[in-house]
Amino acid sequence: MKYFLIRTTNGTIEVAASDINQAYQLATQWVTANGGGNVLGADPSENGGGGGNAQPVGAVTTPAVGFSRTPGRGATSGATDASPLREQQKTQNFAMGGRLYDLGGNAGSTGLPAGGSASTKFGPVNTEVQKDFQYESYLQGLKNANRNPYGAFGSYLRERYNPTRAAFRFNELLGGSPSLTGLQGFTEQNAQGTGGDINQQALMQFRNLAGAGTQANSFQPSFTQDLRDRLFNAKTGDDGSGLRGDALQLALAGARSKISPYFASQAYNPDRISDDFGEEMYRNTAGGGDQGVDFVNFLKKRFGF
Amino acid sequence: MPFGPDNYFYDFMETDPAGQRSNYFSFQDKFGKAPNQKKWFEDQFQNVQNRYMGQLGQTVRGGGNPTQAFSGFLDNYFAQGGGADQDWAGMSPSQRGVQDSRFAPSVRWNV
Repeated sequence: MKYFLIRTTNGTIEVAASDINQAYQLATQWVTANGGGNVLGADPSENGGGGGNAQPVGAVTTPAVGFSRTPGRGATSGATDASPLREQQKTQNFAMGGRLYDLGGNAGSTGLPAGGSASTKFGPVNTEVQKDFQYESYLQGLKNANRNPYGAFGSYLRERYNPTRAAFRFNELLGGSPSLTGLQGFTEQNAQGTGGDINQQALMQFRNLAGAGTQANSFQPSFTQDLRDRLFNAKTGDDGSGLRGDALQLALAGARSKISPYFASQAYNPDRISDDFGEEMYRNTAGGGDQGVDFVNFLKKRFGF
Repeated sequence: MPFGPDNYFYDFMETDPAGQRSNYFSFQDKFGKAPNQKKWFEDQFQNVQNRYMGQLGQTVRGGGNPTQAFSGFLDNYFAQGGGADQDWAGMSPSQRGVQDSRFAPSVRWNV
């Protein structure tokens, strides 16, 4: 059991919980029970330290001195505004020859709540800022979980950026409640090993995604028709390569829970899959009319899901 | 808690070449105490990995799904009485580096 100081719009509260996510859940319940408001983030300098004046699970004290009650940047800036930096990130191709892949910074695609934040050693980081600095958020999440991306096995940790971001993105689009901690908190949770079997989760997410293609009401409001079209009705020249790259990441990770991870890593080549889908798009377009190709169904068949 | 898919490094230990070596050599305390035996198992990584891949291939050719993980394969291989013990016991004394002449002196003919 650890003790967390959680900043809310109603003041800072101390929560005893097994991990940061449970702490956020309890804090959210407390805020709701105390007239409503937002959970802003965790104070990094005190959290998890097991302070002597900590309370039992679910108990809270208010307020602690010295913590800002000012809502984060996201409280005033809309979740869909596109900063120049974000646009720049969108165009940075990342592996796979730039076909399916980008850094996934599509504006408004993650549906993060206004005011949500995660913490760093430098202070809280708003989820909106994290959208602009996705890779940096990921690295910080690793560090918060005491995983050194430049230490032993660091290259592996850095390579997990793509599947982690993909899982986070579809968690936001399909998973229910929006994240209060952004990619950084999501990474931290997974890197600590408290997130469970990440490959099994990816498989479930992919199945949810496939279901969202046929059940119109099963997806979150943030999963807009436009985003759905890019996955289930991909057309030439649409802006869905990043989203489709993330869907492919889900499928690749999910395959590792169905068969031997080693075998899956050898059997499914993302470049080859990307090329094959490109050819299918080409045939579809050349065949007389850009009818659109169901990318999720393409993956389902390819992976035997 | 046993090592498994919940571990953040599981994929690394399963799929990455360095991770697979790390996985194999994580059993080094089961390589044996005798210098010859220890050295022999230190050299066996490639053979053991090939045997694992061969097992996956057999499963696929048999029409099944290759679900066996490398970690599980190593657990079985280094278990007591498992493949490692059998491999070592199945070798001749000379292959194990044992000088059997010390125990079976050469025949002398007295004429």
